[in-house]
Amino acid sequence: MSIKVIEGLCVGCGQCELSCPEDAIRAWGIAEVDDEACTECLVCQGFCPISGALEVEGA
Amino acid sequence: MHKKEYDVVIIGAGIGGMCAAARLAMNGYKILMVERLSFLGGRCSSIETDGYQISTGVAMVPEGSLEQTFREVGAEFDVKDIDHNAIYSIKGKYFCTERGLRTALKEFAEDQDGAGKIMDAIGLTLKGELPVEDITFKEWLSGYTEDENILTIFQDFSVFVVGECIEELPTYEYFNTLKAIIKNKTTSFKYPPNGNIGLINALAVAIEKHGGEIWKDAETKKIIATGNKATGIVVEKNDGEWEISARFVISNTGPKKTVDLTGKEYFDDDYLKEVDLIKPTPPCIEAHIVSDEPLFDLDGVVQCLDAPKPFMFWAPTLKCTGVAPPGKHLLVSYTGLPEDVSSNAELKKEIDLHMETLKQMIPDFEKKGTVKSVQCFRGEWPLYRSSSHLLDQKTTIENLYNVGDGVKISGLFGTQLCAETARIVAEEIMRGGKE
Repeated sequence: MSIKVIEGLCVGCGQCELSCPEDAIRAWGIAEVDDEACTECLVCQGFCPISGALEVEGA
Repeated sequence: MHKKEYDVVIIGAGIGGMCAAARLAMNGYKILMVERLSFLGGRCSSIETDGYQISTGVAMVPEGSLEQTFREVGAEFDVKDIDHNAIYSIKGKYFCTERGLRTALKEFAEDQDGAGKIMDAIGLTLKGELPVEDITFKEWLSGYTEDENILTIFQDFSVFVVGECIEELPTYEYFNTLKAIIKNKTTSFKYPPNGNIGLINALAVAIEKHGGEIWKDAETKKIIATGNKATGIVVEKNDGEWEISARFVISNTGPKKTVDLTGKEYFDDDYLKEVDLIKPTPPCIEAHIVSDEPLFDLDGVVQCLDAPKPFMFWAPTLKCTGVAPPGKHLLVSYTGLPEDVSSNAELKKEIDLHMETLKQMIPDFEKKGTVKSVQCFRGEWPLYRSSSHLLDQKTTIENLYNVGDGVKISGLFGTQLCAETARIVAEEIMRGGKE
């Protein structure tokens, strides 16, 4: 599985980046997840204020 | 489905929801506040990263309604004063002033005659000797001057404080905001010294001390309406679905989401039309820059009048070392954007321009600073949920209320507005839901 950013929904608030324990996200305008560094811990989902903007793929 | 009963259930732990929860819990109401996210405070919180406390929105807090709420519910309002209310930066020179507008106009306006006329007209309008016409504030200003420098000064105030550009801001809203600032003495803003989370934790402690319950990671699926009355909510969390019965439901999710959660069919058509007219403030960009030595040495909000877009910055670590690791420094920069920035590509261009402006305005930025984060506030996670449209906190469904910055009261904005809407709703509930 991996974390997918839904382009039309993400507002770029950066809360996923700030909460990510692995520094695997950069959100300058829109979030981008580094699949190599991501451990799929899902902490970012709990900090993303927009329902459905961060989705788990292949779960 | 699990079931539980409360006097009042509050959806959303933003600052509005938390203020309402604290007031009601303190007055003996059995309350439950449910929050969808993993943290409390919403846009009035902060997230710790590598020892830095990065705000989720709110940069500074005013006194007034918010401080009063903290005092009344027995929560510590731990804030630090800012040295200068306003610092204007013009061509590399800084003007610190407590009475900002007049000085800024004197230093910066080319049309001094027009500037004088505007100051006179503002004075007369505040006294009620000049009528407030139903025009935009840009149109009002243009009646006195065409000087771009003067318009910039008002544009910056408008974008930074009210969250709306002068082209959109109704003239009455400018004057009501000014009147409220004067009346509530909220001319000075303050920093929470350890980040917004310090204030949020203090409020959460007060809520729980008074017997209130808080659920995090708990998503509200539905507001239950029976006939014309709200009777509870359905919540989903890790241990399953809960049906929460309550005599009163307070939503801090914004009026649009309140309608969606309940179902359009329960509301009056006129109310739905009003809700449709609410639009959030235009997008804005905030960058957090970290460094080993201070990048700037004046404590206050610096408005850069010769920047290409409304641009300001401040250096919280000059006063509040608790928002950075020992020996490190933080500088925050902010740009308010025009309405028409909507696509991600356009936004990225604006972020590039923001970085260019940072280089121009802060000489040491490129050499000594590192950008820690860039945040955008727009759409569903905006600066303010309602830019200027007003809406009552009471909905057309009995016992269902909205609090927060989506139910705007003319003249109030930000945390002040959230605390005030919470006070109004809590007091109405304490009167038994009757006005």
